[in-house]
Amino acid sequence: MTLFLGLRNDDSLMKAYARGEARAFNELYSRHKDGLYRFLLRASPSQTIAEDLAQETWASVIKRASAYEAKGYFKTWLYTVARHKLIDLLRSQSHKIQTQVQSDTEVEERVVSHDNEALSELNVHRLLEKIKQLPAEQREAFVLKEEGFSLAEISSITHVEQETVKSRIRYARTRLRNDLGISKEVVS
Amino acid sequence: MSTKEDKTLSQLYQQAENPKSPEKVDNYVLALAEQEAENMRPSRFGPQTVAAVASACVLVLAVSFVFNNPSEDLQRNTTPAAYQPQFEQESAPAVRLQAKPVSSPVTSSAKGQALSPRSPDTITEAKAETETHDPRTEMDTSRAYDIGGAASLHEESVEEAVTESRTSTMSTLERQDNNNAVRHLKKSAKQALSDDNAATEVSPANVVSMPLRMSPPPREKQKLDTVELEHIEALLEQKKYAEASAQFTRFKERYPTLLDTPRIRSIIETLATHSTQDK
Repeated sequence: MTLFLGLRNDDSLMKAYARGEARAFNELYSRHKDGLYRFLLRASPSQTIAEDLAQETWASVIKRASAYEAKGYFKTWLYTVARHKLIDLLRSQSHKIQTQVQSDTEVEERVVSHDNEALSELNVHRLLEKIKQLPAEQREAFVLKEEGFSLAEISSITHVEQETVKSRIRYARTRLRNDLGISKEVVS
Repeated sequence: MSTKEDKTLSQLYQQAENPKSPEKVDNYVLALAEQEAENMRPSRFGPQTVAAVASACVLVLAVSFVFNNPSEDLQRNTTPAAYQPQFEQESAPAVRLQAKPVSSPVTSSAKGQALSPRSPDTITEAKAETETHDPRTEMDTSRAYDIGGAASLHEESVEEAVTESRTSTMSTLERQDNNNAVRHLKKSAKQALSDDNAATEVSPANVVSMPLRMSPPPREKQKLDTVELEHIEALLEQKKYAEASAQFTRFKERYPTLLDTPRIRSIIETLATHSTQDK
């Protein structure tokens, strides 16, 4: 039975769960829980907020299961729900978040790497910090792109044109590159 | 933006620790999902289930109606002769007409017994000679059969057995007091019939569902006991306590499992009372 559940697509599992099959939801959850949590962790100011958002997102999915229509990809719908939760939270706690982000910001230290040290652990840590300092639109576009979504899917999730998505990603990359001191000469 | 730059940033991003969903979130979400699944599950007593149960009930009622009201032809074919009213009146004379003169050799001891005044022992022994079944085996066998379902068969079997018993016993007892023996057997047969009629009201449905097998009559053995018990009771009435006690001792040895009945307890009490008085 578990094998068959593994072969079913997300929409089918969601429909099965809407009929009361709890195991279908378990399969669905195991597929997307880590990716969604990672997205929320990267896009939200803190881990606590990411956990709350993940919990609220899945609760919302459960509540809406009976009304779910298999029109598109479940994953896109799931991340759309999560993004709405994130935006709601950012709007309601904007001042708190700003303070928290500022306190976490360290003095920028421009590291110019001339070899593979650019991929060091330090840079990874700094990258994650810099991602949090990006504007929300650029941050979510960049993180979604890095999580494997296509431009069309990001466009669907964020409700903007694909060109807009592409621009946001480009701005985000440029800023991150500058912040991390990764120059074209170094990479090439 | 160049592809190489994208690759570098993506490599950095992928090298970052991939956090797993926290366990507390997993537990909460899965518990909530399970709870909601219970609510979303369609009821087991939906319209389809109700319809299935209703149709099953109708089917059962129809089957029971058919088996409780068989057609007249079926009733006529399956009603045993034992239920015909003239059977009881005609059966006793028929036995007398079927009785054949003694043709089997009679031993001197048997003759001696035959010439002596008839005792219940004689009757019982004579019956035992005619019986081909071991009473204990018979009893065990009768337990294996469905007594409730074969009530009417018991009645028939009792009749047949009594008739056979009469016929064969008559040859031995003819020199004895024929009238007394026949009266005894008739009495026991009638009692068997009345007992069976009272105990089991045989419906045509039972007759239809009656298995076609020749079971040894379970009541037959009880009739033999009854004859002996009647004799013991007669002796007690005649105040022949010693003889009754001896007779009852033999009865107990023969049927040790049949002592726990009100009738036998009454005999035991009577014997105990009078033995105490004698002392």
